[in-house]
Amino acid sequence: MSEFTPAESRKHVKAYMAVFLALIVGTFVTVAVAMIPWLDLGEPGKSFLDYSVGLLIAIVKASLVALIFMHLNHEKGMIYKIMLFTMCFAFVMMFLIVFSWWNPIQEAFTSH
Amino acid sequence: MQIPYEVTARRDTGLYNAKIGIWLFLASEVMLFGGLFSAYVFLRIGITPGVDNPWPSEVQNIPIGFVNTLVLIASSVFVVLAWVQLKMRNWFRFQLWMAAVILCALTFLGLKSVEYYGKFHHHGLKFTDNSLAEGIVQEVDGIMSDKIRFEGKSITFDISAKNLYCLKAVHGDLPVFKAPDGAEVTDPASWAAKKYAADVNAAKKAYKEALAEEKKLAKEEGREIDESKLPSMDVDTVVTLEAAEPFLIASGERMHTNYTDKTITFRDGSKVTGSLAPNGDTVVLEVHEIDMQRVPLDEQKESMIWSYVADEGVKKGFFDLQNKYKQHLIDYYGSEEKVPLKQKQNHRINIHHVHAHHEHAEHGAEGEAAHGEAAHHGDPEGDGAGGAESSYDYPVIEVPRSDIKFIGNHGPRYNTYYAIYFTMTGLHGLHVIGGALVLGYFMLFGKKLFLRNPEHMANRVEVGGLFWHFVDLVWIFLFPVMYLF
Amino acid sequence: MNPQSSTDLSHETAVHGHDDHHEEHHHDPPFWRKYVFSTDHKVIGIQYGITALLFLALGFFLMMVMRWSIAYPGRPVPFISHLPWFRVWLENGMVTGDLYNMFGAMHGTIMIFLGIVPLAFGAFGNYVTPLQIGAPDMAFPRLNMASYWSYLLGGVLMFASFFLPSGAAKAGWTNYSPLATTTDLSFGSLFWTGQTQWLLAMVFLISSSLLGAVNFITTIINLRCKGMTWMRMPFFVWAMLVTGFLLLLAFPPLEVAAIMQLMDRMAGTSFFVPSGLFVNGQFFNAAGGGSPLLYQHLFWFLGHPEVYVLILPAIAIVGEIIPNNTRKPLWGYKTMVYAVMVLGFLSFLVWAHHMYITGMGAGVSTFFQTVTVLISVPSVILITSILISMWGGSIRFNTPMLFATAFIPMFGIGGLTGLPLAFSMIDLHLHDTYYVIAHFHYVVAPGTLFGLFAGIYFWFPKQTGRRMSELLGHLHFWPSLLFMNGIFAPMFIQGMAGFHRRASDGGAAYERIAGQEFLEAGSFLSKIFKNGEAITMIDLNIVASVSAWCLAIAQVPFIINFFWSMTKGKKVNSNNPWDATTLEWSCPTPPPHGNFLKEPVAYRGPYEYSVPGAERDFTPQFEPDPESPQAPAEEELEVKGGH
Ligand code: HEM
Ligand SMILES: [Cu+2]
Repeated sequence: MSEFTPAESRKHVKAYMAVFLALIVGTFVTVAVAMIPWLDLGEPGKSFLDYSVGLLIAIVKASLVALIFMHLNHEKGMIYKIMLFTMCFAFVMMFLIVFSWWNPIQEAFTSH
Repeated sequence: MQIPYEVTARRDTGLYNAKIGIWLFLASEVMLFGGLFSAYVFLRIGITPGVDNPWPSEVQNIPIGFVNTLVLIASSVFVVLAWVQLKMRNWFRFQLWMAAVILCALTFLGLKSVEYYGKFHHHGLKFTDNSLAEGIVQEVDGIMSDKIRFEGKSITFDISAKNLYCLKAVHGDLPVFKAPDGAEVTDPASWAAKKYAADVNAAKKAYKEALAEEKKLAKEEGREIDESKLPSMDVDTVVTLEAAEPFLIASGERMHTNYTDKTITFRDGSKVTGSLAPNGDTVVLEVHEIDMQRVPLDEQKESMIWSYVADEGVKKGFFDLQNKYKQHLIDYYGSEEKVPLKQKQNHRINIHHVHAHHEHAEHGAEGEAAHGEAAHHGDPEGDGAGGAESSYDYPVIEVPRSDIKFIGNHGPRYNTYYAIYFTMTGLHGLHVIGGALVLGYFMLFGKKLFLRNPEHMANRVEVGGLFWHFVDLVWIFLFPVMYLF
Repeated sequence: MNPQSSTDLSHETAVHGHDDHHEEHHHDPPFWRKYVFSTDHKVIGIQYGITALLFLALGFFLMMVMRWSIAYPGRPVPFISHLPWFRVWLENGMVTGDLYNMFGAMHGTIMIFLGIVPLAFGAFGNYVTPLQIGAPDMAFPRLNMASYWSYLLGGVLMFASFFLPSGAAKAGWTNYSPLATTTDLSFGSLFWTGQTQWLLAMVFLISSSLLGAVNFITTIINLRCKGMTWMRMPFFVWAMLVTGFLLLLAFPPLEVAAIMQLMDRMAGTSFFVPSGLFVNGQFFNAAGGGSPLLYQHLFWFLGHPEVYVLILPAIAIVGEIIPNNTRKPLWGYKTMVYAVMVLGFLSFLVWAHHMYITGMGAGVSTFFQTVTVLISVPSVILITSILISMWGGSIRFNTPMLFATAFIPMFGIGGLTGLPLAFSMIDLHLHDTYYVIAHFHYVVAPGTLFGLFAGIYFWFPKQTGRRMSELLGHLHFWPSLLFMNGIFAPMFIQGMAGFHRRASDGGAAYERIAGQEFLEAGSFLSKIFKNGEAITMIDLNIVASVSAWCLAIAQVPFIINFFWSMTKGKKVNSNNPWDATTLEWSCPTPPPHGNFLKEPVAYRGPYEYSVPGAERDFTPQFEPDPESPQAPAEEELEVKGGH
């Protein structure tokens, strides 16, 4: 990548602009879904569906940033390995921490 | 000595050192924000209904958050464009794009501080029946009325301890005190230190003299030394200083531990004696929002909040809107029984919606059902907007402490939502500042390296850019999670 | 320190005069650049080492005072009661509950965060890793320096907090909320309390570890010399790589916890403050709605990987010393490499075994219990491989080897006693008793610490050109081994008998527990020590305490040895005094800035001892194949990526 021709740079810039547009659209959609009453998904008010859609858009946006801006679409194996483990541990952390609210034994005794 | 692979990539890994370094650092940042998001989810799920404060919603200023999102996205694009220019060996254009990035960062921080300011100046007052009035605390005699106002005449404290916490609550100039021996004291802390040292020395001296005396006596009488005949070395450390003239105390929540109408006791045990100022423990609040989430539906009409917000129009508007929303729910679920309990209770209403509602009603316009939901669906003027909108007629109420369960501004200590909001956005803001500093440094001082080794400079910008994208990426999640959910 | 240029390695003498990167040797940097603000990984390693040893001594001292309070509650502490600081904190010369709590918290903190980890990772990791992979320095030398200074700053803050009016932190090394959130709240300035300073100091220490971790991993990935493929890396380097990842990914959640607790204390938030909390009979003025469980999760997410940060470097040092002194290859090198990776991975999935009795859900307890039992498999693989490496070797029992050998059973005891704790039902009984204390101290004290001592004895000649005295080494080792066990073995018994771990009187107040019979009246030992009366459980406190003080005396030979040998020790007659095989023994003694005189090349695996047919019983990594004296073709030596 040390040789960087103008043609190549134009290709790069094009991709960046496309992503830019996608990110802006994504942001608009997120806010619209949250604010415009007739776009209220699922039950009235905030519901699981609203959260899912919001998070989904956020994940797509984040992936675009990571893949294109941060060049993860053509990165070296070592970086993938590092980030894979990291994401894995981050999810494990969140999942297991939240999981600890779930107490089947207590529930069996309190929920009738 | 030259460290290999500082600029060029190593053949087998295909990476130069800084690239690995920054990705490793980002990995740790993923865990940092991962931990924070885990805490967010854990705290939010863990709320015990009826015990903990409900997780508030619709309190953020969505337009500001929205604009900030766009600003960060734009800055992310500018960073890559700057990098492209550097790769094309075009220093000036690189600088231009970089300047745009810094501008975006400054805009972001500016808007953020507007939001913070609004929150710190927006108060919530929870009555003892859990109904909530939000708005702006008014000043009384130049003191914010959520503080205890007290007229002090003397202070009592321990001279062996170094802290005189009560003095931090003095409003205006520190008074001059009179010591027990009549001396004037302008700086009680250093006076206390001196007196303590002197007292201890005197006690020691007295003890030594008595000991010598006792030793002599014991020797003469041929007995053991009798400890009980010696004076104690303990000194009396609690003293009271009278003030030359009465002074004003304004004490916030975390300063004092309790108060009566004669004394107020501070966290470190120091005390001020005097009298509670007239109405020194009432809070004067301009009410902007009323929140009934924690009050059972059938008690809402008799809630004590209505004895303060005595405007019948407001009360009627509140319940009109509530009924309207209820109807909306009934329409959705089919019948009243099917509406989940948590839905019915969800009620927080901004006074100006009530006014707007009245106007619509008066003008005969069939008010769209959206009004009930405006409160429900992201209030565009949540407390991020500051206290700018005062063209409405907001009721001002005066509430004595005995009717208040909790009063505080919407700062981090208001509840766990605000706590995590400030912690996460604050940390994110620090990242923005850090990133802007580094990128700004490249922009201003990178030329020398660029001329010597442009590839090295491009690497640096790439690495700095990676960090910047990550900061943007965090915000992409923070925005919906904090503002919209 | 005295450079030794004589060498028995022919190719090195050959290049000595005319190596091509000698610009650096011309201008000698001033003293403060060379030894204080140095970017040389060896100097930084030594700085880390010396600072960490000082902190270890401080932590040890705190422990000795605590042991007095435990063994002889209600009796004035000898020697120290006249020291100015102690005059304030001791009451009639006796240890108060406050002081005990303070010392307990700081002992743990200092030993773990300021002692062992900096010594193991900071000192040995820094000094040895670049040498072993043939790198001129760390990948980011200035970051390396920042890492040390951040550590020092954190350490100084931590130490200085003793001298605040509130004293140092008092809520245990784990700093559990809400206790830690609410201690010392009566002080006017919450910022200047030990509890808050603890958090600040931790932020510095965490930053230091993160910088270090980034640096280590980058160095190992990118700065391996020619021929140093992944599977030719010494096991020590592997362990450092895994340790680096543990630090990198486990510390940030603790940073989160520290920041949140700081917010709780300073800004009045309620992250870890549950609703309706009362402190000292008074309603705690906060919004509530937080969860103490969250703190424990975030803490132990670091906490458990941290215990592997404590143990892996020690295992690795032992793994270097054992093959060297048995003159045999490390048995199952590849298995060990995979085991250590699995260990690193699993160590992120077991943290909540410290939290069985918190009221955390039973579902998640079951998960953690299962994984905890699983993780003992790679641990056992590591220790078994090392043990098997000794089989049938002609062992040289020099001092490093003594410590390394003793490490195996000591770590074994510690690890095996962890297994019962892994089961939530058994842990209900044993949690927070002396059993747990004994468990982890067996791993960390006679385990890790012995490993680190072994490392000091082993690499000392590389830096100084002199060996440490064998006689003093033996005088150090044998009493240490004896007294270590004297301290911790009784704790297993006490713990199972129900002794709680944080009682300042050692449990004397709980008569039914304290008075349980250990040895019956009239037995032999009871006649010697108690005039024939039965020896009770509480009497074991005295055994442990006396052993602890004796252990302190047993360190005197080491201190003498350390300083004496620097100038008077037996000179080594080559750069490779132990006849070892790894790259660090190929560079001059002490290694100069930049380490190698000639670009190092790794021609073979790291543990080629007693290769059949070879002239000598060791074939160093840096020696070309004697069969084909020409250097191998370039591509053969090219580093292979991945594995
Ligand atoms: C072989 C595997 C191991 C198992 C199954 C194991 C299991 C456990 C368990 C279940 C506890 C919690 C006990 C309680 O608090 O009730 C514990 C505590 C502890 N373990 Fe281990 N452990 C193992 C190895 C290690 C190693 C290698 C180290 C360190 C170098 C270590 C250091 C500690 C420490 C420091 C604590 C106590 C922390 C505290 O509460 O202050 N353990 N271990
Ligand atoms: Cu553990």
